[in-house]
Amino acid sequence: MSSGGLPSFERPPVIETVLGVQFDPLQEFRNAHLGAFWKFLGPAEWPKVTDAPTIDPQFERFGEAAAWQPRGVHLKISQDPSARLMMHNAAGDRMIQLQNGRLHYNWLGQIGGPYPRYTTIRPEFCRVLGRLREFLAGEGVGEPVPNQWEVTYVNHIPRGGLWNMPSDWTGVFVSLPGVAGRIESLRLESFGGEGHFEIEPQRGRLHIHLEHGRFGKDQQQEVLRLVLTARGPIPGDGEGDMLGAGLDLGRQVIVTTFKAITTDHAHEYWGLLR
Amino acid sequence: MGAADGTEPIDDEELLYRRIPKSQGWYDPALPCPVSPEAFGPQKHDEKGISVWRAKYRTLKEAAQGRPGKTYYVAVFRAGDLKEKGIEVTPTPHEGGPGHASIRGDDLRGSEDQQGVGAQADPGVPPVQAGLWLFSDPRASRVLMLGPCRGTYDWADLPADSP
Amino acid sequence: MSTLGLPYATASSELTSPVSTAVTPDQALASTVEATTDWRRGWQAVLDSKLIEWGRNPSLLEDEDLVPPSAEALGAAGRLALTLRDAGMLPPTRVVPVGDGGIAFELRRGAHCETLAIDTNGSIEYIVYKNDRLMSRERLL
Repeated sequence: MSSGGLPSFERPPVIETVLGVQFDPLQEFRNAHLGAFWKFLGPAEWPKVTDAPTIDPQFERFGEAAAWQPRGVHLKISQDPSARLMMHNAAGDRMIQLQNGRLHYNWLGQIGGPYPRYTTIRPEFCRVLGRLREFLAGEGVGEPVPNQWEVTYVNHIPRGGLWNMPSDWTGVFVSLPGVAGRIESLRLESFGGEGHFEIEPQRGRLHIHLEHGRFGKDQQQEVLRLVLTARGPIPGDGEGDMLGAGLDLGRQVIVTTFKAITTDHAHEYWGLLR
Repeated sequence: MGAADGTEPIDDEELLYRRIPKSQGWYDPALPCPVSPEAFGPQKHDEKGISVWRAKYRTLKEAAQGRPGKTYYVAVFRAGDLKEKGIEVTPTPHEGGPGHASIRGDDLRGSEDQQGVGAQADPGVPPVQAGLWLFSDPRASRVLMLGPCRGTYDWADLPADSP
Repeated sequence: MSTLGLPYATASSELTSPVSTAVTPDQALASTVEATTDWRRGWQAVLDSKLIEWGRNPSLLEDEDLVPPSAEALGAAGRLALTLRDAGMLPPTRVVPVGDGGIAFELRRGAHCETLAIDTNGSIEYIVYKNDRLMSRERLL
């Protein structure tokens, strides 16, 4: 695991990252194990906990296994009481999320600290995963079998820095359909969209989501919010650190794509190092 | 001809009243869309359509008359504005007395085989929900919400130019 | 188990996509949790100020021939509110009795108005209006 050759920025606009693993749900896992795992980790280190609804499994499928699906949000009205536990550290810059079938490790940048880099976050995630395996073995619940890896970078590009009005966005992104070029008597007010890319050959998928809005408790900060999520099946035949290989691939795809879709002007603003 | 018995056709310039109980929260002036579609939903007394009263036959006080001790608003709107949207208002004095009229087929919670007026006019066009249109369309600006007023004739200050 | 398709379940506008997955959901990101928390408070107000209060004092809603929400409707509405709250859904613009023993959750966004109509027997219907026209209605439960 190294950064060699990958783009790196001195002041990247990233405000949150997530490393995650989805695993086959464990038959004997109960909500009580969430609380017990929190105790196992140490409430002193993770003092703030919150309950949340579970996140549905997501599988990146390709070819014949993929299917055209209706768009939109779908809500389940269910009797399943399963929960997800969100545990924050004392500094407020790390979060562990656990549910039966998923473990996420978030770096939270909103409190103002510098981005600690993937090379720091990845080993932390692996340590937590190791602790989870230890805990589950001790409880006799079983061994989590990973089926998907997932990496997410959340970027906020605030107004007043690289851009002041929507027409400036062409100076941030290499290509925004319909935004470049002025149309008489029309003024661009907002733009958003999503893109989905196969990480060839069927090693995973990159999702890009761009939206413009106000953010924060008082909705005062106007930002462009760019979320990149790479997700894919655990590669190989299970030998070696296949989850780690997946996470590394996801991070590589994300940082490379981020550089490719943003302009030289934006790179200079963010302090492109290589 | 022209008998004052409430059977004569409703002129486009006629004003119509719909009483809205304050108790149900169907009118909230603090909201961007102050009136709920439920204010124009069929109730028990709306046997064959949404009941309204013709202003030429009822005063506002009479239109506002309800249960003693309870408070009501009165929505006032022009028949022609509904007609422009394809919503017909029909005199139905036999259902409530002279001045009673009905907005028919305004489908809110009706059976699935009910058809709105708009749908009958053009099968491909869904019917307009009168309540929503009246209170959300900025073109329908000639709707006046009066009240609150109590069922015991304790009338709040009326605007000087109220009908 | 039923599903609600949101935001606009109209057959004429239904699109399918070759990709059924997406970015990490907002629920899993701390940078959106705060907004979600505000939404939870909105739902709590629905529960406390409306549903529980109506159950406690149904006489507040008695008027003419109008029927206050039934116990079944209140129960179903409460369960629905908790489910939608926990899913991080936007709280309704308005929650009102329907007058026949049912309850309506209304959400208005520009030209769109969506209603979850809870019947007096606890069944739920999803109704969509666009530009003041009734576009669709679907029995969910």
